[in-house]
Amino acid sequence: MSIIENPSTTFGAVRTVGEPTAGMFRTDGYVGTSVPKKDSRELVTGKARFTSDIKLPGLVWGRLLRSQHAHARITSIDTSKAKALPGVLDVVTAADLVATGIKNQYQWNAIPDMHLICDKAHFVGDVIGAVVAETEQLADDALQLIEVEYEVLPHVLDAEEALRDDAPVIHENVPGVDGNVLGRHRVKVGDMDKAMAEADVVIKRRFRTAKQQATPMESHQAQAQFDDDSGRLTVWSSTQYVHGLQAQIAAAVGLPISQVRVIKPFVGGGFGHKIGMHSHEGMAAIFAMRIGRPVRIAMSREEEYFTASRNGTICDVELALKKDGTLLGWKERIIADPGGHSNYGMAFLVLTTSLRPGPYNWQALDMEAVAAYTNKCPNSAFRAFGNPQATYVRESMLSIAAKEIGMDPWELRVKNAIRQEQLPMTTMNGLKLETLAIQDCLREAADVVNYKEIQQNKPKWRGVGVASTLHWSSCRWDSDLDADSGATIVQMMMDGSCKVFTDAADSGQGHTTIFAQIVADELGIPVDRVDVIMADTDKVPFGLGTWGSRSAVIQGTSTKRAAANVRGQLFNVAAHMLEASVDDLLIRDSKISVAGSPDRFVNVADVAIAMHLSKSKLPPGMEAGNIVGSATYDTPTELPSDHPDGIGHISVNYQASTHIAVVDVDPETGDIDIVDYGMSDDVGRLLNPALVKGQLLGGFAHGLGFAWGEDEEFGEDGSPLNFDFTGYQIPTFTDVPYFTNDQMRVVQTYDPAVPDGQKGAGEVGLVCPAPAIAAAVADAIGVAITEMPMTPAKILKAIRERAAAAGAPAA
Amino acid sequence: MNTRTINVTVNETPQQREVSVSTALRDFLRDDLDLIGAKAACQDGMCGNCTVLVDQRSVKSCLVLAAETHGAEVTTIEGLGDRTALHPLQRAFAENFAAQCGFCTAGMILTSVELLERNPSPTLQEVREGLVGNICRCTAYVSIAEAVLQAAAEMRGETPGAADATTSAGGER
Repeated sequence: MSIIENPSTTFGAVRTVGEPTAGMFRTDGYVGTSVPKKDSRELVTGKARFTSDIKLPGLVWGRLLRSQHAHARITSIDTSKAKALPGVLDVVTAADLVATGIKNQYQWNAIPDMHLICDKAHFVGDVIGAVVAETEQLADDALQLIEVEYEVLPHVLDAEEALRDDAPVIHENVPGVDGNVLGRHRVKVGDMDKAMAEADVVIKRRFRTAKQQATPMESHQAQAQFDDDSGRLTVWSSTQYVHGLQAQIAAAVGLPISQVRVIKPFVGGGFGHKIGMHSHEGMAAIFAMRIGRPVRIAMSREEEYFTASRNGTICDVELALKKDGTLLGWKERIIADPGGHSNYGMAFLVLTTSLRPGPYNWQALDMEAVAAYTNKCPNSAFRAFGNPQATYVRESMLSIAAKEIGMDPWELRVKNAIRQEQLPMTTMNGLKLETLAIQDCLREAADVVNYKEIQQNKPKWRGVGVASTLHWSSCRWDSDLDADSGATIVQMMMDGSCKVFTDAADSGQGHTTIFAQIVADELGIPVDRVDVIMADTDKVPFGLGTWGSRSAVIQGTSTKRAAANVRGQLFNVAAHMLEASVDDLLIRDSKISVAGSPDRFVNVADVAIAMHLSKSKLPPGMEAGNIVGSATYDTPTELPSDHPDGIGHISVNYQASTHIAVVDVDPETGDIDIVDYGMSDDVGRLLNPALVKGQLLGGFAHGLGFAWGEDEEFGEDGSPLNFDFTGYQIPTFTDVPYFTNDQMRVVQTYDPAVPDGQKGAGEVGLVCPAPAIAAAVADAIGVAITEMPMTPAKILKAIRERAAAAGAPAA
Repeated sequence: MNTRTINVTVNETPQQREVSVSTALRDFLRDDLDLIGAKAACQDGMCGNCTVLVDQRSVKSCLVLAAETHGAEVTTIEGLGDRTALHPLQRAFAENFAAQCGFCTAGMILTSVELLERNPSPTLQEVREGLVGNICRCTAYVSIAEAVLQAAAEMRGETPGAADATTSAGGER
């Protein structure tokens, strides 16, 4: 397969802002080129095994019993008929788990409200029991035979209503939980009174954001096997963070962490929803130990919707600005709806407020965020966690403000966005920026769509919308997790080829390939001589896994460090062999040579075999043996929860992005047609342009779904209404605009915070589509829709209301 | 259990098997023959991830009973290409970064096999419409369309060409 050498054949244009620090990285290696994805062949031949493709002898099936009521006490639960069904192997309730010494409650959650099996139903679909049987069908049949008596309680589905004094309390007697409030976060910096006093215009709006589901093609799946003789428990799971799952399962079942092995097979998309333990993983492990058979528990598509989703929010904003467009103050009250369990509800508050100010200069910020339980299925982390809501609200407000003061919305952003000459800087909310090419992203995206020209020549029902954002490369929130690490071990074999072991958990992004590129460059060997092993706790070192746009940066850097360590060991030996100084050595093309004397060289493979087997060739006193470099990387970042103003430097570096949508609205149907679209991103140095492109485009499609219709819907009784692909529609082949290279431009920066200059790229593409498309629709129809998702029905309603208002006689 | 004995040729290998009358073709392939390329992302034919070919026609194997394939020829992703040479579609998907997580890939490729059989020279729009029943959550479909067009050109004996870059971004809702 060919390697694309020139990144501009992948994107419409790649411009570079700034220079790398001298000697920062090689420019003649694999990094920076589109090395083909290493796992491609396994995927196109169908050989790649995902969790449920792994056949364990004697495998049996577990299923979870789910509540039929949104909020109910379980007064009795009778499992006797289910247990009596031939082929049923075990049936358990919350009480059964506790009685047998299982730690039903999740460990390491800031709020102790999560259980493998609940003894009260907090939403329709909450897990209240579990069965295991010889076949999947028998397990389903057994579920039907469990007799549950409920005391149905009043329920609440709206987070704002959940905050009222008379609202039913969903979690009682949970430490730290006050009424339905699971937590608050406040950001307050600058002089808001002054900002409001100086403002020519103060705009107030309320927004609602949708409860999107990541909808990975592979739903959550787990298999577990317990070996009585060795006392070892093995869990295969479609997960993003093997060491977190390992520790949580060990705590639940009471085994030392060393006896629990978690393996991530191929994963069919994670998108944040597959971080942490879920009931099916814990229960597969518990059943495997209880019955001594391997157990699989796989979420159906409907159950997938119950398992995780994006936080809904209600946001009341006041934006203060001057008539000339200068942004002054951002004041907001955010009510987040995490659903029936806290999960990452607190993290959401910190993260969404951290990204609210975006890539702009401000004079004052005041944000009060609160998370209130509702009787809906729980939230989880989800691609760009907190930023889609933040950017949708902020950018929608900026577009509304531009219209209000009669300024072009793109000019408004250019005027306020952080400028190159301000860098390096610390933003008002504590983000330390070394690089952020937002001004360039604004210009490039405008150039793609011929912005000035289309603004001047818009037919009726056509609109143009602009959105920009800033995004993290990994992130920090509160002391629940006071680390930001990843780890890699590089082992060189006798022939100079390498094995790489890392906690990162590729679920399609292509980290396997990127890490091989990094190691190949550090050690001067061909990329196909590097094999990368990921996310198996028996093999890889401890780290925090893959989420939050982190792995190319975090484990990318630990990988670079580990490989550099190996190179140092090789150089030590090569210097002895070549009678040269270590400082004069170069490693290229499988050779270590003396700079300036290319014929004085030794092959990497000859050094490697000597270090393994030939002590006499080594420097005096050196022992022969393994060649291993091990490194962790933990970022110099801060927890906003520790700061009195609720702010902090949450990420090692920050990406920038601008999207511009040109949209036609059909006034008869409310349908929208994206007629042109430009995107420009600063994702640091491009390690593998084609993989970055795949991430940016995939993010766009996810963002398009967030914009136009993806939302978990519930009936008045809390029952889910659209938990399948017919009801919950995700963008299909013809729904997503076909992007040409010309429509995507990259502004490359070399961020000095990490040695390869890269930033994350996996999430940022999702962030801007919704606000850009929403602003374009608002421009087309003359009124902004402030409740997501922006369905054709809502667009049509807005058009008709506006027409009625225009035609109505003056009061 | 109500069962039938079926004779079915799967990837050119004749199989005689006893199957339950209620077993879906997908589960027969995955569980009985360990052909795990057909994936289960839903149960109701909406995702296309379990697509296989039955007598050269693409079907969603969750919606077909194994018993219905008696006498038929079934091709799964494991039946395309061989150890030394990938099928042109497989190679094009790999070269164009068209498999991210890869869960939808087998279904995409097998649907494309039928598409190119019927229409060896599809336009970009014909490719997009032809694959509308296959859902992918990772790629935004762009790299997949590029891969199918590249494979089509190659299968016609032309130099592999790039996707029709003149078609502008436009997606009907």
